[in-house]
Amino acid sequence: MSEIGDFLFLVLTSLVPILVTAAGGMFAERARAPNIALDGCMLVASLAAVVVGTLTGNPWLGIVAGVLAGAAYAGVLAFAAFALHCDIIIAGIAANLLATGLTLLIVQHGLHSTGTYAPFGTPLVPRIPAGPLENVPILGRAIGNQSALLYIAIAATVVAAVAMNLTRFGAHIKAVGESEEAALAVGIKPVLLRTVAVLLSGAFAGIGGAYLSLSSVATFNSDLTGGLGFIAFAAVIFGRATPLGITLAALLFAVATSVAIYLQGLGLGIQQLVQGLPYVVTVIALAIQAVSRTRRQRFDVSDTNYVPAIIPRG
Amino acid sequence: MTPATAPAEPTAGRKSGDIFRTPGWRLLPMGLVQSIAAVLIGIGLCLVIIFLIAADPLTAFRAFVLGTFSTTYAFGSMLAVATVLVLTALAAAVGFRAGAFNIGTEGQLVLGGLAAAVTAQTVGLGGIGQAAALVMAALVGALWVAIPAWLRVRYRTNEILTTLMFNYIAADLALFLVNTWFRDPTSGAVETPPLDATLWLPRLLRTSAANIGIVLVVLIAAGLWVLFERTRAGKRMEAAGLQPAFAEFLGINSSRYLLLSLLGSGALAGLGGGIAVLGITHAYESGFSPQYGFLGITVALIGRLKPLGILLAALLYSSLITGATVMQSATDVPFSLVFILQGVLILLITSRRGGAA
Repeated sequence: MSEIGDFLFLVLTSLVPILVTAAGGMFAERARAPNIALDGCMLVASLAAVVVGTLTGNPWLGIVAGVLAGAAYAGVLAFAAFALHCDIIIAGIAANLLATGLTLLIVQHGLHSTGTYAPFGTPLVPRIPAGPLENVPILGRAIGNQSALLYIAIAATVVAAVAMNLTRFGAHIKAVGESEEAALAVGIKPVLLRTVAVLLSGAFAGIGGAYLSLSSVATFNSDLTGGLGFIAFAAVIFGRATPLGITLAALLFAVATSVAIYLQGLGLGIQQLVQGLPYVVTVIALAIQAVSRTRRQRFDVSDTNYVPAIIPRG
Repeated sequence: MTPATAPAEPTAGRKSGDIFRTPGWRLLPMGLVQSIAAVLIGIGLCLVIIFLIAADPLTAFRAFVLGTFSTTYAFGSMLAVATVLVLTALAAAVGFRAGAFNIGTEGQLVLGGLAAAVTAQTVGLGGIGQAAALVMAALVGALWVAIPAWLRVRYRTNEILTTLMFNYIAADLALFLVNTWFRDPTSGAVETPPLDATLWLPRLLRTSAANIGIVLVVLIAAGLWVLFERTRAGKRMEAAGLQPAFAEFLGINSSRYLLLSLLGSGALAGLGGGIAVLGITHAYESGFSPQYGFLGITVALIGRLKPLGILLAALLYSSLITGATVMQSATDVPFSLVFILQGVLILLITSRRGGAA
């Protein structure tokens, strides 16, 4: 029984960065301004979080710094897409590469580390004991001692879901994404709204990034995200940019990550091979989605269905 | 292809003349001027960064810009790196021209390099081993892009995400394969045993890494120029990339061209890995590629997706890479400046600000 609980614990820890980042990416995707630079935002945010956390000795300020850095970095993408008029996908790829270079430069030059920045005595985000739930068989082990960021991430996702589905802001985002002409006609400013959506996605990715560097070990290197931002982006696509969809997609990818970690712990001699499991699952998920969409479209003549912005309608 | 995402554009729609633009118009709206301007602004920005962080900015900047030409060794390294960059850039360009973004060149290159090292080791010494290794590298590269390519063509799966994911899978797979079967038992690092000297690509300049691969690469670039500009297949590929529906109307099987282009793109990237292993490192080493694949995307964009442009852009960019290496050893400015320059360059080159589109 306790093994199941431990595995669920692992799933929840893997879920946090993917879910919260995908929740932000949802806004950008819905506004038809897909933020493929989520990975870069996470990377920059995690560096900002660990540096500010170390300097101030306060992990909460680290998180705030991460959120601000993530949003600021998304600002680079927004600037490129809306001021320089770059293709937003290409600009997002460029922003990811730029994030690697920028963080490496800061770590190597500003922090005088060779590649990994491992400060001494950085306070971590506190872990929350399960309290009275501690003795419930599986649940107790699964949620006992989880990072406070788990609850922050879940709360952020709920807020994002409410904002998307129940507020005027969410309706405007969807309007801009679905029909720019209609949005303009009722006085919504598409560029402004898209900029807000992209900045928002960066801020959410900032929470995910802060989680990576402030939850269990306070270190940073430029491979820290390991493509988590792209997996989160895939979760947005696979979840069709709806709150429920991205939650389920993020859960799927978190389970894949946990299985990979679990199998590596068994020492089967195939550690490196199972490490690739989350990426394989991501590809399979995207493939299944594409296949089912192709099947559906055979009977579907209407073009009003929501198509994720990144997929060419050709 | 309708631009999937063109947020800030006027809603009136595109002008009908669009399809007659140069290939890749979605990415490269303005002329050569923009590439040159972007490179100048990018280098200027690097100057600013160096000025801000270096203890001795002038030495650092001189090393960055002129370091390549300071020694024969550095110049040779520049040529060797350029050789690989041309291939990854051509790989990216072939994908772009056919209307797909193969961002997985890094993974194709890594596995191609591993395949070359292993094949050369098993097939035998001399020219046969080299030829077999390079062919195998290209095959493996094509094979590694085959699944994303097929998914893209058949089911319109987003190739950007799938090829990107395949990069991570390739890294894990290569690590696994080397550790399990091909590892040099006498070495502490993750690498295959060093290749026999007869398997090395012949060197052009003594004591430097520049090798005969450069001739092969120039021939490939020339061949692609002929394909792009002088053959029916090249023009059909271009049409299929620009406007798949229109191409279908003309009787062009756009799916087939897209699939073949992506496979060719993977083969070029895999070959790049083979050349890097046989010509530079002489064994598969974990991390032998300083992101050749991603750098190739930048080079392809600077070269405006044209073979000749790519040759020049690769020389330019690899001299900056070599310069950055010299700078890192001579001063306190780290190599990572190159990656910043890369990101900035892509943004500047693909900017449509003031362009016609």
